[in-house]
Amino acid sequence: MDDYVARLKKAVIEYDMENIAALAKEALDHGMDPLQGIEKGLALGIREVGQRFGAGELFLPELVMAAETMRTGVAVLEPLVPKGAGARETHKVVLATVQDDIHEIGKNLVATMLTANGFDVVDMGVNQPTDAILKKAQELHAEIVGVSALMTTSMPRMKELLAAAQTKGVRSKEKFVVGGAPVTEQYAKEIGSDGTAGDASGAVRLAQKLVGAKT
Amino acid sequence: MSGLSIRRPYPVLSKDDVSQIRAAAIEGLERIGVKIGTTQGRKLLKKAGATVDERAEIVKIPRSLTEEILAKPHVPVTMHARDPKQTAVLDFSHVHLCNNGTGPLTLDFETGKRRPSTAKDLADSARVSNALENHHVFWPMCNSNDAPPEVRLYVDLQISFENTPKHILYASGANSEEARRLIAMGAAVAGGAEELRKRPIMSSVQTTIAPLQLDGPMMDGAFTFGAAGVPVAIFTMPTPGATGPVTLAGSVTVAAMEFLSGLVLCRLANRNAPVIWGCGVTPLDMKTTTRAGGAPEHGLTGVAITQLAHDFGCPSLTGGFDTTASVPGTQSSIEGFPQGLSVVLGGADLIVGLGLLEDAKTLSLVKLVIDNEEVAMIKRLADGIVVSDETIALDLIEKVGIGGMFLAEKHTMKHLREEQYLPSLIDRRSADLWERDGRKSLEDRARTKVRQALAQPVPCPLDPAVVRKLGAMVDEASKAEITEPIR
Repeated sequence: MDDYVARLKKAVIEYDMENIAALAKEALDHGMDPLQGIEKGLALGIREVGQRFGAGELFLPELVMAAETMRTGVAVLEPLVPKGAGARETHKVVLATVQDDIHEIGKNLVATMLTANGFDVVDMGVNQPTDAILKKAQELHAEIVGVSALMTTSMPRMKELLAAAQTKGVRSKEKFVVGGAPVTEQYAKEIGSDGTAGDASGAVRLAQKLVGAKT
Repeated sequence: MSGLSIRRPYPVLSKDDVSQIRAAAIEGLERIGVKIGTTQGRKLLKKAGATVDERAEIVKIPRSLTEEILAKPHVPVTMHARDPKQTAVLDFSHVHLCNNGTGPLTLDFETGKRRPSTAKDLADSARVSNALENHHVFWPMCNSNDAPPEVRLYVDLQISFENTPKHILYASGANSEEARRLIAMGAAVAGGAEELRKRPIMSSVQTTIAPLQLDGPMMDGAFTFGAAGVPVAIFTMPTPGATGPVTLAGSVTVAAMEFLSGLVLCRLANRNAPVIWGCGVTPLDMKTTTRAGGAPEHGLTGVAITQLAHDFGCPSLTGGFDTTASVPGTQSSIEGFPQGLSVVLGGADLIVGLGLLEDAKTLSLVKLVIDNEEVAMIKRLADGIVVSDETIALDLIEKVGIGGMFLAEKHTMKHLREEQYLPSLIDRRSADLWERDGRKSLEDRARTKVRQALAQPVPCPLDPAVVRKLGAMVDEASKAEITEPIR
C-alpha cells in the first residue's frame, strides 16, 4: 500500500497526466486509504514540485502539468474519502479582473501558480463588478480575494472593492490582494489592501504568508 | 518623409516558410475559426460567406474569403505628421522608429523613484522625443494618472498633440463611442473631418486577445476609426508557451490567424481601410512568470511577421528595443540591442519600443535617449557598404600614394557623414580625459541630453484656438454619460 502512495507522489512529480487516474483506481482496488493517497502521495508530490520550481530547478509548464496530474488524482480519490475523516485542509482563493477591464493573462498565471501550490482557486474571469466578487467570496468562504487590473482607468475599482468590503464588514474575514501592471506597493497600501506582488511567483509567496498569518 | 532605408536586409523566414505559415493560418481560420465579439462584425462575415455560431460567437472564415481579401493590392499606410517634414510613409521599404507607450509608471527623472506616471511625464516624453533624430512617430509614452479616469484617454491625446508635431500612434483600445471622440479631437487639430481623412495625423492600435479572440468593443472601435480614414493597427500578441505554442512558428501562426480575421473584418467594414499588422510576440519567462519583452525571440518574431505582413499586403508594426530590466543600464541595452538590430535589418515598417523599462511598463527618459543612440548604430549597419568606383577610390589611393595620409582629402569629407556613424552619446575619448571630466557614465550623458531637450520649445506649436478647442472637448467628455465601459 505504501508503494501506491509513493507511486502517486512520483506520478505527480513526473507529471504523468495520462496514467494518474488509472493508477489511483488501481491503488484503491488494492486497498489504499484514499485520504492517505491524497495527503501523503499527491499533496507531498506537488509540494516537492513547488519547492523545486521555487529553487529554479523546474520550469512553469512542469509545475502546471504536475498540478493537473494532482487534480486528476484528487478527483478520483476524494469522493471515496469517508465523511468526517478529517477533511483536507485547503485555502480558498477567489480571483477576478475588476469591472471595466478585460485583461487576464496575469491573473490566469496567478491562478495557475496558486493552484499548483495547493490553493483552491475559483477564477471568476474578467470585467467583474465589486458586488459579484464580494458575493462569490462570501459564498465560498474564501480566505483570499485577489483582483487585477491592467488599465490605470480601471484601477479605481480596486479601491471601490476595498471600501465596499469595509462597509459590508467582511474586510476582517477575507484578505484582499491586488495586482496588475499599474499597481505599485504604495498603491496597494494606500487603498488598504493586504498586499501586491510583481509576478505570479510573488503572488504565491504573498498568499502563503497571508494564510499562514491567519492560522 | 522620414525613415531608414535598408541596404542589407536580414529576413528570418525563407519564401517557403512564408507560404507554409500563410497556408496554415488560412486553413486555421477555416477549420478552427476565431471568437469575434462584435455583432456587427459577425453580421458582415456571415454575409460574406463565413460560418457563424452566434451563441459561442465563433466564426469560421472560408479560405476563399480570406484569399479574396488578400488578393487586393498592397496598401501602404501614410502616417501624416502635423509637421509634414516628419510624415512617415510605411511603404514596405523603410523602417521607422516609434517609442514604446502607455506606461502606467515612470522613473522620476530627478529622483529616480518609480511612481505612477503623470500628465507632465507624458508632455516631457513628447518633448524629449522631439529632439531625437532617429525617432519618427510618437505614441503617448505614459498615462496621465493625475487626470480623472473617465477622461484620461482624451487627455493623453490632447497632451500629445500639444507637445509634438509628429504623427500620433495611439494605443487607445477605444470602443466606437470613445473612437468618435478621439476622431473629433484629431479633426479639430487637422482642420476638419475631411482634412483628417486626407491627412490622418493619428492612428489607433487595437489589440486582439490571444489565442484567437477579437474583443467586440475593440473591433467596433476599429471600424469607427476605419470609417474616418484613421489607420488601424491590429496588435496581436500571443505569448509563446502560454497563449500560443512554445514554437515561434506556431505562435506566429496564431498571430496570423488573429490578424487575418481582423483584416478581413476591417476590409469588409471599410473597403480600402489602411490596416497595419501590429505584433509583440515574445515568450513567457518560464521561471519568473513575467513576459520576456527583452528576449531575442521578440526580434525574430517581429521579422517573421514583417515578412508575412508584406506578403499579405500590409505594413508591420513590431516590438523592438524592449527590455525587462527595471532600470536603464547594461541589461536594458544588451536586451534591447540584438532585438532592435533584428527588426531594423528585417525591415519592419514601424518599430515600437524605445524608452520604456520592465517590458513596456515604466517610462525612462534616459532609456529613450540611449535607445535613440542604439538606433543610430544599427542604422549604420543597415546601410551596409556601398561599392562603386567612387567608393573604392583607386585613383585617390594612387594620388595619396604609399605612406600618405587621407585626412586632408576632399573625398574624405565628401563621404564622411554617410560612411561613419557619428556618436552623440558614445564616449570615445581617452581614459585620462574621461577621468578628468568626472568619469561620466553613458546614463549621465543621456541625462544631460534629456535636460537639453526639455529646455527646448515645442516645435510647430498648436494654434491657441485649437488648444482651447481640445480643452473644451475634454471638458465635454467629462460631463458625458458613459454608455459603454471604459477599456
